[in-house]
Amino acid sequence: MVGGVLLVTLAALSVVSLLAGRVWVSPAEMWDGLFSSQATLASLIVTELRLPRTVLAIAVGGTLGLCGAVLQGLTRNPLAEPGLLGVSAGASLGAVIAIYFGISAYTTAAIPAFGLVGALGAMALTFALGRGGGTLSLVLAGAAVTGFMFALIQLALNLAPSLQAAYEIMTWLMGSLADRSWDHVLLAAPFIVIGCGMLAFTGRALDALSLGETQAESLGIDLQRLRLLALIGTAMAVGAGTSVTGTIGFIGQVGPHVVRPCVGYQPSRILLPAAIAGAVLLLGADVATRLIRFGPEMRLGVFTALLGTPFFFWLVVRLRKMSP
Amino acid sequence: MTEIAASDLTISRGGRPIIRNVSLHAQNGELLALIGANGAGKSTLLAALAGLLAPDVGTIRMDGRPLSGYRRVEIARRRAYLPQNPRCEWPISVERLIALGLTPTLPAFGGLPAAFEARIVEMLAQWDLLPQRDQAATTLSGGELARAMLARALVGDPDILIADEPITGLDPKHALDTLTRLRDLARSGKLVIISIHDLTLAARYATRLAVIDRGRIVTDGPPGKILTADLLRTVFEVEACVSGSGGGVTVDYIAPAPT
Repeated sequence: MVGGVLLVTLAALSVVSLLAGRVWVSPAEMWDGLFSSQATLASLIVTELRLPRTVLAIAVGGTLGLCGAVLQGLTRNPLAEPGLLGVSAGASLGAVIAIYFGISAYTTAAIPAFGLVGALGAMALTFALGRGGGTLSLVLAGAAVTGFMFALIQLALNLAPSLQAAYEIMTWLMGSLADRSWDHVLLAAPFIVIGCGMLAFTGRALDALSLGETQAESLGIDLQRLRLLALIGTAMAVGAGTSVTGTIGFIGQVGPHVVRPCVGYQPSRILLPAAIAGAVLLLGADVATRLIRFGPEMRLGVFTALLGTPFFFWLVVRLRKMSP
Repeated sequence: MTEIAASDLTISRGGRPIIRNVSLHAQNGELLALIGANGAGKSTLLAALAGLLAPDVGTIRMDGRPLSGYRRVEIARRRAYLPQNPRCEWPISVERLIALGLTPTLPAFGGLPAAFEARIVEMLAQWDLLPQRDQAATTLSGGELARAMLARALVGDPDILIADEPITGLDPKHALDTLTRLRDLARSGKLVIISIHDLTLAARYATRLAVIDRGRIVTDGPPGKILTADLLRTVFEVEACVSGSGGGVTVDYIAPAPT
């Protein structure tokens, strides 16, 4: 039921996303752009700009929602989010390195490629630090890795060779889907698909974890395997997403909370609806940044943070009321 | 026929030996109660017997085969384990909580097969939880939660139930109710191993007591023979009056034993 509502919303938002922007496209032009081979300006806008942007918003938003749900289940903490294990910070550092050394000037693939390497590097570091310990060690390792990555990002800003480079780094870090092409989609898609596939297989173990680690183990769950699945899945899916879009906060945290009142708290039942909710939230936010016009286009990451923080306030107040 | 046999177990945690040279055998039809002071090693021994903790030395066999030779899921299908004060960390319904006990038999992906629904309803009825069926498990009373957890443990029809202090925190009615059900379970041919602090109830319901003191099993046998004022003085360090015999033993504590 809630899945159906979310899917209809997603479809409607997708249509708006293809139409809306600096240049509005009429529905007829959109139709022609999608289904006729005639190359007009409008059809180019639809197929080369709006469509990859829409696909990326859905894929990255879905990834963030799914990953948030998995990590909240793994840590049994409703405040967990996809950046928890350090991979988002790693992806950001990789992209910043590509900008800092001017590699991004040669090819558009440089930023996402370096971002992916950064995400996988951060994953390896988190794994090495948190290996053998419990979920808490993994989360602590993730926090340490995040701190280290952000220190290096700040170092890059500190030593930026030019104001232009510093500005580029700053704007990239704010996160955006503007001017993303099919190249970006093709580069990120395989990692997102494999990563999300791994995350989707954590459902049964996350359910058992509702009873705590000891009971989950007594039910035959291999917790080491579960942690590894969550870490690698997050690194691939969120790493690839962040590499393409920059840092986008709150979608992964909010997505699961949006669906819980409707589908309940059982972790496995939240995964798919949270993914769709994440896609709806990110696509909606991206459309909104294109519709709200005052000065330059608002960066997507800034917008999700502006929308997400009040929700976070509400969550904190609600949790405070629930605790004795 | 179901049996668990531990031979010469030694288990250390954090460099400190918790269990030393313990051998223990138990088989179906028994309700075996481990008794001993706090920190004597009851929980550690139960976790090891459940296959959740590998001993440093010694072997534990289930039906003659070492536990280390079983796959995790194979053990989970045959024995259920309840830790002390089992918790539920998300507000899922009682029905869903009980369904989690089926985890070892479910496929890796997908929802709960319809065939299992009837079994869950059966457990809800058997453990008087039908009115709480849709209630969030986190809002249950202590007695209700204890019943729900036992239903969760038994929904997969395991041969062995290992429960760490199943009646701690329960009022007399719920404690008696729980122990009656565990005794019936043993009588129906299952093997039930628990740890328990209430010695009177242990003597009344268990078929056998194993007394554990500082990591060693000091004595093991039928309650009427084992529980003596002498044992209570040496192992539990209390002066007590033990009256009655056979299944009707009563333990009255008088004072801490002079040291």
